[in-house]
Amino acid sequence: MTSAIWKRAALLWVIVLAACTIQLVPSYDQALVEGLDQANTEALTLFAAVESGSPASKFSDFEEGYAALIGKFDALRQRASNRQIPPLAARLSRLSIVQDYCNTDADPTGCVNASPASLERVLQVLRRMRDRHRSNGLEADVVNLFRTDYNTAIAQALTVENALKR
Amino acid sequence: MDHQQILGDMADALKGELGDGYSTIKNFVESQGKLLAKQAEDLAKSRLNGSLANDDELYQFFLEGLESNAKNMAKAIVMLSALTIEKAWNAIAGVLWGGIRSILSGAGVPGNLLPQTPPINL
Repeated sequence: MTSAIWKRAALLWVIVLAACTIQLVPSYDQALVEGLDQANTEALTLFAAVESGSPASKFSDFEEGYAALIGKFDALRQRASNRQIPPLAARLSRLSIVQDYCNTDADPTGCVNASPASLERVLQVLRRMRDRHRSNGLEADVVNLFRTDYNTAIAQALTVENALKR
Repeated sequence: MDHQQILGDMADALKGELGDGYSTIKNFVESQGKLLAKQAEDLAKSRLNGSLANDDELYQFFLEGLESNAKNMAKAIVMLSALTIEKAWNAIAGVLWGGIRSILSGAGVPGNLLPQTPPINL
């Protein structure tokens, strides 16, 4: 008798679980991916233009380019940051083990929406490079350091955003 | 459709999703590892013999960048793992639901009561 009850309960659970799909990370955002691809091309073009170094006296030639690029990446960071987090993912983000490891006050869903943090680093690199270009000029080895830092951060955002296409 | 076939289909679906997820994460970890190693190597060179030899402030900025990129890489790996779990679960649920659906249809439950895909999205 007890065994039959357990079997029926187990069968009911199987049916309930089979009826449920889950979403643990945000949906794919095609506009965000296209925006990242385009901004990345522009950033790599900027790095190529100054890769042999560029004196502070040439900064004015690049000033508008820096502003356009920083504005573009900031808009993309905002878009990624403000997108909807699936309810189940939001609940998981509030677990204390996840909060300790992944989250900060500024980024409360860090492990289910990783791109905003990577794009924040992209912005820090571009702003610092612009300021350095304006004040001291850019030496070739410094450009190389900015580019590698940028490459690591943008690869994170591109990989994650492309993977979201289920 | 019998339970052996359902179990076999579930195993195939799980294998496919976990294999794809593992491959994505493995490639990501390898490429990020190379980039972080290059970042550290270039930083050391510039500090020893390059433009950062006398520039503590910029050296500090790039050191913080290494730390920040490593932390963000770990977050991206957690997110890619969550995505793999999501896909694996949904693949299993899809196969299981399909099996239950065909068993219930065979038992005479009307088709309009049984949606094609699992009806609840959490």
